[in-house]
Amino acid sequence: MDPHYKLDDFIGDCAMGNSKAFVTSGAQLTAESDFNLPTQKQVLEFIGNGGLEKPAFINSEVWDKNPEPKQAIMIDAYSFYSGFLYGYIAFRFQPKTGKWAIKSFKKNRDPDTRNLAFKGSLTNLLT
Amino acid sequence: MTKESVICPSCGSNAVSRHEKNSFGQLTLGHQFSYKAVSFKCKTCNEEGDFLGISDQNYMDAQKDAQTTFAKNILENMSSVGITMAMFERVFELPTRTLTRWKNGDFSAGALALLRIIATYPWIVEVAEHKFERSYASFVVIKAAANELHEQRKNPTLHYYERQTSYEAPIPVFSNKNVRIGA
Repeated sequence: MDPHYKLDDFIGDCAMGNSKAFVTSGAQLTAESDFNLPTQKQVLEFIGNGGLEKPAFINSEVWDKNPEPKQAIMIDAYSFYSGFLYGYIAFRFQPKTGKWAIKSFKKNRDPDTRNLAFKGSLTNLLT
Repeated sequence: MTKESVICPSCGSNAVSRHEKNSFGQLTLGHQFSYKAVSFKCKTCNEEGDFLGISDQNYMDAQKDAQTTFAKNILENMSSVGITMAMFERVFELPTRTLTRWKNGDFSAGALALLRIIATYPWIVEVAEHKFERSYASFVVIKAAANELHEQRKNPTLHYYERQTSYEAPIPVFSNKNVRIGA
């Protein structure tokens, strides 16, 4: 499966601030608690300034709460790094308003792939 | 409904309600501060957020006041561990009266970052005094670690653990009075 949106378009629009993107309340709470980004402005500047390191596409799903389901809107999800932290972001674009909505911005609960390098060695030690 | 004509950026609906509540932020190493959080909720798609950036502005205004108090507090406490403003400016090669400006609220985010580092590791001033010379820096770090170990043995307290952000009293700065600059 390929991403529905071009990530660079999203990042470029985040750099333009809240005229082109906004952060939902839930995403803002975890952006503050997990990444020390307490304001929407800081989240958008972080993304727009290349803060998503090594982004990796996870999946693309239909926005199931779309009030106009006939016009399907997709949500793209990515994992990313920021220094020691392993993160997860999900966003969608609303053509009607021309704005991106950042639906999730939080620590990634999946295993950090950087740790998988040790998996073989640890397995050998234990067997 | 709001007085302003607010459009939900998520779905384009204008059925948006405004909500306000007092909320709190926590300054790193500093005090808690309060601000008015404003959010908007769309009745059509149920999305919620700071659609107009009002909360952001309220947060930043309150944060700036807290930062000013924080900077002033740190600068006033510096002399208790032997760091005068003139000395600080000299060793960090800052223009004279820079710290007076900071004390009066004219500071940058970079200045705050430096103050936080000084508050956490006051011995960094001693390293700066020696122009960050590497072997001297190592000596000072080892000396500080030895002091810390000595304190831990006298008061066996803590193992480091990752904790949730606390909204209790701010962490005291320059709490280790044994650290004397140039000692």
